[in-house]
Amino acid sequence: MASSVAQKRLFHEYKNLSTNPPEGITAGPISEDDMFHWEALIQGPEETPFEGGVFAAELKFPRDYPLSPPTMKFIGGGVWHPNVYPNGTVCISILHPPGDDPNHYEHASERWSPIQSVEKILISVMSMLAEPNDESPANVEAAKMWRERRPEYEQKVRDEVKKGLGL
Amino acid sequence: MDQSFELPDSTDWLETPLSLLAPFESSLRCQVCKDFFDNPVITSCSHTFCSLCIRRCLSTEGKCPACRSSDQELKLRRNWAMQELVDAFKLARPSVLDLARRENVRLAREKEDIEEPTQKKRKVNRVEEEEVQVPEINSQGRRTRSQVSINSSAQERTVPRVVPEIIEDSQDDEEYLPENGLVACPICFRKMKEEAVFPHLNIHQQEEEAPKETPTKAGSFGSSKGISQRGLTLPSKQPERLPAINYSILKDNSLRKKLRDLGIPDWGQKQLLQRRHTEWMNLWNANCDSKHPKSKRILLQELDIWERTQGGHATAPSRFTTSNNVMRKDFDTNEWSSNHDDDFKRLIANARKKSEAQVRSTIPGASPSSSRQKESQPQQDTGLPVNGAHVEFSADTDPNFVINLSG
Amino acid sequence: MTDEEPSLNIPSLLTLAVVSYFVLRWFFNRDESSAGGSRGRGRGNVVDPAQVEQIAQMFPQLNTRDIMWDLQRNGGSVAATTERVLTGRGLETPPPSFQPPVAIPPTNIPLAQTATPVQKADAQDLISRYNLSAKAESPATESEPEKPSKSSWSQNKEERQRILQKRRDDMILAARRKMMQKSQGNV
Repeated sequence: MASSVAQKRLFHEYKNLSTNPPEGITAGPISEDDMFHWEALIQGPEETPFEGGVFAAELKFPRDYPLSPPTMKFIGGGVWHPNVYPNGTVCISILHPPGDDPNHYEHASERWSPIQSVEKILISVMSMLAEPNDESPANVEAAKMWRERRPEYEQKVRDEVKKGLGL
Repeated sequence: MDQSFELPDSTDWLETPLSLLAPFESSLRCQVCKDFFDNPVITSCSHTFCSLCIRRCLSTEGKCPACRSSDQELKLRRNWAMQELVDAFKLARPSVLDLARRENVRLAREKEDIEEPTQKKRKVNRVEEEEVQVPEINSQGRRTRSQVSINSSAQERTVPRVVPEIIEDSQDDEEYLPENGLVACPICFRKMKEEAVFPHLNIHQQEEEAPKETPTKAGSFGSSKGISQRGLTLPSKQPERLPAINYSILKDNSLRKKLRDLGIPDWGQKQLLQRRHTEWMNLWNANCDSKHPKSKRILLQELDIWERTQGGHATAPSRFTTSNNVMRKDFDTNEWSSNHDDDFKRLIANARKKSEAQVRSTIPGASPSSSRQKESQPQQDTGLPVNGAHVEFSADTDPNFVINLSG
Repeated sequence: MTDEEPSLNIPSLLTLAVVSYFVLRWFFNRDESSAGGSRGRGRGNVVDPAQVEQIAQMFPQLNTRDIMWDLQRNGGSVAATTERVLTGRGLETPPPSFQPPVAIPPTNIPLAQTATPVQKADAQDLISRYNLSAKAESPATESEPEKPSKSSWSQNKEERQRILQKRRDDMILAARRKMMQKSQGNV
C-alpha cells in the first residue's frame, strides 16, 4: 500500500508485458526507480513501408494514471507519418481522454479510459502505422505526401527505417 | 520504491501447466488497478470495480471506464459474491501456485529422464521393482523425507503403489497405469491423479488452518478470512457516507472550513482543497462499502499517501511514500537502508546542488548559476508543480481569475 | 564598536542574502512573464497551455479545442474568454481546419517529472542510442542462434532491468540483421 496506485498498476503492466509480451513489442520503465517514465520499442507492421523497422518511443505517465492517459513520443529517428508530429509526439485517439476531442472524428469509444493499458496503446500505434488516419493529420506534410504521392511517401519511410537501424 | 519484488499477477500461471488459470485470475482483478477486487461494487451498467477505483473514475469523469455510460456514485452497489470469490481465491492461490510450479519442475525432470539413454532407465526400473518388494513402504503409506531422498531417482516410480489408498475416486484398473498421469502433492509428496490434487490439498489446508487460525497475509485486506466469514454480518455501526459538494458555489474559506471539520488538512489553494476533498470523499465512501471498515486513522494515512504522490506534497517523483512502514514495529532498518541507499545518496546530492545554487544566486556576480536558479524556481517556491495548482502561482495569472472562480 | 561588528555582521548578511534572493526571484519571474506575454501576443497564434488549462479547470464542460480557438482569437486573454463564458455567450466552435498549436496535456495534472534524464538525442539512430555499435558490427551469424526468451521475469530488480535491456537490444539487432540481409538480397 505504500506506493501509489499508479506505481502499482504500472508495475503490474510491466510484469505483464515482460512475461507475456505481444508480438513485436518491448516496453518497460527506463529505471524502476521512476515507474512514470517508460521506453518502448515497437516493430513496424508487416506489409507496410515500416516493415522491418524498430521504433523507439518514450511514454510518460501522469501521476493520476490510469485516470489520465500517458503521452507517447517517438525518439531517435523521426517517424514520418501523418499522425505523428514532426517532434515525434503521437496523436492517436487512445491517447486522448474522452473529455476533450482535439480531432472531431474520434468516437468516444476509441479514446482513453482507465481500463486501457500500455499494451493496448502500443498495439493501437502499430495499427496506426499501418493505416494512417487522414482526417486530422498531425504532420501535414506527411499527410499530403501520403495522400498525393504515395510511392514517395513509402520510399521516405523506408529510408527513415534504415536510418533508424543505423544502415 | 519499495515494490515488493514478488508482485502476484495473473501471468504467474502462464509458465505452469495451469496456464488457463491466468484468464481466470485476471477476471478476479479490477481492470483499473489490476489488483484483486477490493470491496467490489457493481455499476448500473453491470461492470464491477474496486469501490475506490470506480469512485475515483466517476469523480473525474462521471463515466464507467468499461463502457463509458454515465453513472453516479450513488448507484453503486456492493458485490458481495465477488468479494467472497476473491477472498477464497486469494486464500487458495499460494498453495495452488506452488503445486503448479512443482509440477513444472517435475515435468522438466521427466523430460530429462526420457532424454537419458534407455539403459539407465531400465536400471531405474529395476530399482523400482526391488523397492516395491519392501513391505514396509506399502504398509507405511506415507513416506518419510529421508526415504525420498535416498531413492531420489526411483522415488517417482515407486510411489504410485501407495496411491490407491489415497485416491478416493479412482478406479481399480487405473491404479496400475504408468505414472505419467500422476501428480505429487506438494505437501506430503503422495502421488495421485491430477483431478484429485485439489480436493486433497483442501485437506492439508484445513489441517493447517485448524491450529493456526487463518493464515491471513499481513498486507492483504482484513477481510481475507474468507469462507469461514460467510455470515456477512455488517458492523453494527455503519459509518455515514459523505455527500458530494458542489465546489463552484463554495468560497475558498468555507471549503477550507469544511475540510477542517472533516479533520483533513486544509492548506493549499482551492484547486488542491477540492482535489483533496474529492479524494477523501472517495476513500471514505469506499471504506463504507467494506465489510470491515478501516479506522479513520488508517484512512488519514491513505490520504497522506495520496498527498505525497498526487497531492500537495508531490513535487519530485516521490517514492518515499513509505513512512507508514517505517513506523511499523517489525521494520527492518538494515534492509531499508540498503534498499534506499541510492535514493539517499541522490537526495543528498540534490540537496547539495540546490543549496549551492541558492548560495550562488544570492551573490549578484554569479550570473551563470542564476539561469539555473531561474529554472528551478517554480519548483521551489510553489512546491506544487505536479498537482496542477501551479497556475495560480504563475506571475502572469490574471488576478480576476480567482475572483471569477469563487464568485 | 569592534566587538559589535561580528554580531551585526551575521544577521545583516543573512538579511541581505534573503532580500537579494527575493529580489532576484521577483526579477526573474517578472522577466519571464513579460517575455512570455510578449511572445504570446507577438506571434498571435501561440496559445499558452497554462491558460488553456486554467480555463479548462474553471469550466470543465468546455472543449479544450474551443478554448484554444477562443484564446487564439482574442490574443491569449484568459479574462476575455472567461468573461465570454460567464456572460453565457459560450464559445464558438472552431472551424475543422483549426489545428491546436500546442499539444495540450490531457488533464490539469502535469506529467510526472523524470528523475533520470535520458540521453537526449534527436535524429539519432537506435544503434548509437543504445550503444549497440559493437554488437552490431560483430558477424551476424554468430549471434543468430540465441533466441530471445519469450517470457522473462525475475524477482530481482537489477536482473529484471538486465532482461529488459537484453530484449530491447535483441529486438534492434535482429531487425538490423534482417534488414541487412534483405538489402543484400536486393542488390
